[in-house]
Amino acid sequence: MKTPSNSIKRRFALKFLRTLVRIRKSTHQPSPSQSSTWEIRRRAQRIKLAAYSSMARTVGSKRAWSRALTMKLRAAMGNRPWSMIKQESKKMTRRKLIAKRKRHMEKDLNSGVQELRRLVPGGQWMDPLSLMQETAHFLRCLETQVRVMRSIVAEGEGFPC
Amino acid sequence: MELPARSNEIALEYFQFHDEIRRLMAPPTENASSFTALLELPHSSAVELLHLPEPFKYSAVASSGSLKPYFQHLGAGGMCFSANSAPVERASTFAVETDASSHKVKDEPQAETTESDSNPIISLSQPLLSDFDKEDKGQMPGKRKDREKKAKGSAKKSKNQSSGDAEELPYVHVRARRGEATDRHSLAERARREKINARMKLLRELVPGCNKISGTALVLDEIINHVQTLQRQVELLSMRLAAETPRMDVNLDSIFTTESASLVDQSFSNMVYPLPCSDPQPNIPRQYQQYPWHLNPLQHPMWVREELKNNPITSKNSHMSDDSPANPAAMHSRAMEKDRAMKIE
Repeated sequence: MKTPSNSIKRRFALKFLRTLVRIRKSTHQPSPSQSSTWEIRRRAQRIKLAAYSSMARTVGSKRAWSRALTMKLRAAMGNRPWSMIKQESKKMTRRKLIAKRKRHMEKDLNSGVQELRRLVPGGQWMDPLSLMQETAHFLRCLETQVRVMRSIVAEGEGFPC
Repeated sequence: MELPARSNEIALEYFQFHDEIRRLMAPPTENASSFTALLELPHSSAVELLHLPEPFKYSAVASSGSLKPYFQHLGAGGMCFSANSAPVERASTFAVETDASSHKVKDEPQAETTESDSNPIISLSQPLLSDFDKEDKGQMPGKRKDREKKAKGSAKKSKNQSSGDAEELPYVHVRARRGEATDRHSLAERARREKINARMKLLRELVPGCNKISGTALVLDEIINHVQTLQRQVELLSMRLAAETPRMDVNLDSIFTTESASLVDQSFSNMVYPLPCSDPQPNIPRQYQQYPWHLNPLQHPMWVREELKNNPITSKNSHMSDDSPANPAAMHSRAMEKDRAMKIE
């Protein structure tokens, strides 16, 4: 990807591992032996959010999708709901109009682009051109995320208990 | 910068060949005089028009076509144009050279494999067409600058395209192709479309298996499919990680301690990471632990899809209680597990 010393992969791996460890510590104390499906699902959800947020933090504010992702995760965390709402409203009033107008202009790529808007965070207010750029970067980061997670799982299952 | 130098080169060469062509065309000028009067064009270009096949004369005058269609048609039809070989050969090589950088790559072999007769016409038409562009604008002075820029800037744009097209100029000079409208709106639209195509190429390279699919919509579907697959994989992996908790506790820290080695094994680059001794962001775990069960009303898109059907309040309480012992305990337990990991290793 980028320079090997501080590529996205390594930075993401480090952050993700740290958060994983924290999650381990937190969930281990109440009920280590109990592993109901509900617990597992809850933990899986937290891990998923941790993965996405660590990826967003690794990318920083350079990309529109990482910013949108951070905003949404913060809203999910219940950090400061009113500031989030203000941001959202600002985005919506200005960009939505632009996006709507542009959406009317082109019809051929519309269906695919709509779908892409749903998938990529922050894609609803981007014009199709920058949306594609964001998608490319998002795709690359997703791939590194999956690779890192897979390697972690492989490590975990590889070690005998 | 080599680009303006090159355009200057091209301009110079045009002038040189212009003189040579005039010399070549000297004999038949008598015939062309009336024709010239009709077309209101200089002699050389009129003669060149004469020697071109019929249908192209009008289009050459009507639109500022690029050389691409000329190449194709000249390759298809035969030519019966005879001229002095020496300067013409020079011209042909020059034409081939200048076109090497443009996006007419596929016409090069065509141009080269066709008879030598066709080459002179190609080479001659190139400098003369630029004359067309410059003189045709007597009627439209407003667009003269644009067209002139295009004549010299087409090399620029084509060079940029060939160099990867990742960057964008503030002004992209698009050359109007033959048979297409040349008003501002369609030009801008075409520029936009070309940008979109460049981005699509990028995406195609990222997504495996998209090279065979032709057509934007299907490629977009493929990309969407890929993104969805990756997101589902993230979910699955997080489930696996969550399920691996009792085992992972030791393994994770062992991973931490031997992070450099394991990462190298797994095709990361080999750099030794210093172990983090303190949590740099103490706020974050609190956010994770207090994280809310009011994800439901927010209705996030897929990537923050909540699968929680049961939202008991007890979990929240347990999270809150976890908060304080989490951080100080983390360091201690990590140290302990480091020893355990060393033993295991």
